[in-house]
Amino acid sequence: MTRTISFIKRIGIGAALFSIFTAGGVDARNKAITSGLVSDNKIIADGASSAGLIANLFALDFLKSDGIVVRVNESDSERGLYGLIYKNCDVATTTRLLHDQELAEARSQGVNPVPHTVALGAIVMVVHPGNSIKELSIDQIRKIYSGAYTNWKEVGGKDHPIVLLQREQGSGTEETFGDIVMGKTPLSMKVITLFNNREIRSRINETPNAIGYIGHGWIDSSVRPLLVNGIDHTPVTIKDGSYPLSRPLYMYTNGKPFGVLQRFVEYSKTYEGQRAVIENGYVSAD
Amino acid sequence: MKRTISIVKKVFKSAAFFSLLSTGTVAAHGADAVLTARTLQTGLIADNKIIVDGSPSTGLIANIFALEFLKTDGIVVKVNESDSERGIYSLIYKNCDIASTTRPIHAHELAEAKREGVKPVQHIVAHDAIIMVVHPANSLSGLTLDQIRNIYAGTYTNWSQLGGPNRPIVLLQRENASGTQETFRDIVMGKSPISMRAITLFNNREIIGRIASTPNAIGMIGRGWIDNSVKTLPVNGVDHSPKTIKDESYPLHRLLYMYTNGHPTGVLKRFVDYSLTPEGQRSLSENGFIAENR
Repeated sequence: MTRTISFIKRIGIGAALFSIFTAGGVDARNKAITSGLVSDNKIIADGASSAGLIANLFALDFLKSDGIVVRVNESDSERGLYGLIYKNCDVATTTRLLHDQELAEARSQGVNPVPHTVALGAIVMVVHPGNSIKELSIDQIRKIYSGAYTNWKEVGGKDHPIVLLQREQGSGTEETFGDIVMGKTPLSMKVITLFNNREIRSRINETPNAIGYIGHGWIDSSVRPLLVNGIDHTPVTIKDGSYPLSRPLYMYTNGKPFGVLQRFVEYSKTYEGQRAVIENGYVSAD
Repeated sequence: MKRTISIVKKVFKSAAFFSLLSTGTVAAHGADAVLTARTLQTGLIADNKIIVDGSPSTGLIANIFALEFLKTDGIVVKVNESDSERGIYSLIYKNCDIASTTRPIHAHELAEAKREGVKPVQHIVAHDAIIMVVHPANSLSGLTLDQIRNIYAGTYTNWSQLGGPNRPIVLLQRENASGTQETFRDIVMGKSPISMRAITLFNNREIIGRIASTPNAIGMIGRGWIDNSVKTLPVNGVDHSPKTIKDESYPLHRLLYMYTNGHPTGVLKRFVDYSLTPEGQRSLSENGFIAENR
């Protein structure tokens, strides 16, 4: 809760500073020339929302230190990369590496995409502590969330209906879950949408038949995390990629960045940047 | 700009209110009985919240009204931006208080609602209209929906393909989460993907500014944002006006609906009817929507 509120406050302060700053456009123009940014005093990020969220987490610090406004469009990895290729954004936020045909198009446009790993997005499936299930496979999770399985006994549990919890559209957690678990399979229409990790955690804690997912950093003893494909979520299994519900989050720039853009994409390596990443449920890449 | 900032401030204020409210959770727990009593009266799914699920365009209106209801009733409005269908099923399975949609309910959805003992009741909250805009010096006098789709799909890349001068078309679009972008995609693009070359800007003001400074650009804005720095294009030969929007002859138009389970009472009724009050209608027109007079 404190974390959510502090984040809301940060955005609020950011908005206030933003309105002050936009009044002074002339100085900013000189700065843009030396920083190599697409737009005057902005870093424009486009792409996957889970990586875009990290850009938003860093935004306030760069507004304070450099007077730079960070704008994030939540599209997807592919659109972010083409945004970079056609010089419509400064940072492509992606959940995967560049494909060959994207690299070819970039070269034909004279653009040299350089990846920067900013964090690992790991989510954890959670159930009520009284649930007898200890682990699920990705396939079982998909069938639970698509509505093919509607009773815990179908996955070896008790004869109780399964209550499905999900996060709202636009959350990085939901995006990661959708991409890794669901793919093109649509979610059951019976799923209940909650609006942050805390709400999922407390609903799980008071609902014996519920299943949900939260960011790795939000696990506590009020819920029981499940092994996935037999693998537990630990910093080791997340970093070595063996834990299935995890993936690296990247920011791509055109060429090696310098100045404020370099500090921005490398902010996750600083003490402040790592703290912001971890406090919001991500795993630091370093 | 002023409007954007005022919205930002509104959101900020509501965030501050929200944090005040939620730091008072312990006190609120003591007053559980009061809350429960209120919930029973209002018929809301969660204690002191109105949960909205469905189309982002209509969800935006719920967000615009949110601060007022936080102030008057201590009610927090939570909006999930999914789509009309998911919003309706969420209402049917009693997972939200309001389904926010851009279309009336379908017959098979109504049948499922009946099976679940839910009675969806429709409330029209506003008209939404988007306007295609170009630089004032652009010689074009209108476009068809089909031409606009082909422009944004990247099939037409030069104004000469539409009877204009031999200049490349610069495509502007709004960010994915905006209602304007959703309306544009639904009415104009359908399943055609937008060209990867489209430039994403983040509000109506930015689109207007970029159009005014880019002779070859085309973009779309909410109707409330038009000024003389841009030229508006009739679509399929119909110009936008309150009349053509309300009689639905203007093509880039749609109605925005909120659905409740049964006729709402108490705060939920005031919420879905807020668009009929002078305050609600002012908020709507300030944000580019057109109020519906029921």
